Amino acid sequence: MSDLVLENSPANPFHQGAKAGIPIFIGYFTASIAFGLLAQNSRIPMEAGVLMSMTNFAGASQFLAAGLWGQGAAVWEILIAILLINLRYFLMGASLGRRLEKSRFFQKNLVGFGITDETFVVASLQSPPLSRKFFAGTALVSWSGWVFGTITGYLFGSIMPTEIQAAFGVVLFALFAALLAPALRQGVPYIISAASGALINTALVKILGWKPGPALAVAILLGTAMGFFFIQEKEIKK
Amino acid sequence: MTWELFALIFGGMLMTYLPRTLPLHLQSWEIPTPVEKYLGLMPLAALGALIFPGTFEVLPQTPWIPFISILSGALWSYFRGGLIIPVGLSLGVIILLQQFLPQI
Repeated sequence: MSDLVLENSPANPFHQGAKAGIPIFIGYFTASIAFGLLAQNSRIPMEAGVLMSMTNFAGASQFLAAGLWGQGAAVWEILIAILLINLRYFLMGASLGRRLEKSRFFQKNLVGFGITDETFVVASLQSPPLSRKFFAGTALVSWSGWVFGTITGYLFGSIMPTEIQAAFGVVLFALFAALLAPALRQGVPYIISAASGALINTALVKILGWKPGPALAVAILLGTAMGFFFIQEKEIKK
Repeated sequence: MTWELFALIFGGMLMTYLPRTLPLHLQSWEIPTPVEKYLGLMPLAALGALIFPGTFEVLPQTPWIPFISILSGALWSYFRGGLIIPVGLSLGVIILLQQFLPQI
């Protein structure tokens, strides 16, 4: 019964969460248009691309999957690269889990599906305990943006001039850059990790001619280690 | 849909879903500090590696055009934050450069 009353009150946490998700909707809609274009150019049919957006609901790793698929990488190579990029969710999940209101097993499983870089940030701005309904609202609105944008991208792809489509290819990298640049302010180890990741990957692909999948995996692990050693070094000196 | 594409989609779902959901079930388990630090740096290395050298491949004939486009968006987000404005800025810059300075 109490749920029923909440449904109609203006302070319904689901509505509040949905409202907080609107900026994410706009961002995801634009970004996933780019994903739809990329996936189409990578010879992933529309139903598969849309299914991917519905089930994976992940920005960087979907772009990566479509990009590597288009370059003819093996599925297992792509999956390892995806797992590596997504390991960051482990930290977000742990942080969110500490603040989430007491929840059952299956409720946690639903909450987990909705964790992305952006929904995590919105959820983190709420004072704990985090309401499941609030988070569900944010995640659902964000998810819709991601899925509808993907569909739009596929539909646009067939009518957009090739030159503009090529320019849209930059959206993915611009999105990564917009996530990366503010994170660099966290300090020197972060800058070292980012720069090492970029340099190692470029060297492996361009100079040693590695395939993109394995190169990315090695670049992420080694690049992270470079920043990590810098932290350790500094702490020993203290 | 081929079997391989199916494996890509559902494998990708697992590789995304598990890291998101497992820690929600391990609430009492504290991540050891070094692991937390390593994982905290990982997104940076991943993003760096995702941006380079891929950015240059957007327009392989004129790789400096996508580079400048990315750089302008990155500068904006470094100082002002946000996601939509810097991405829109990068897109605007690349379209302009592509239209007006195609052969340099």
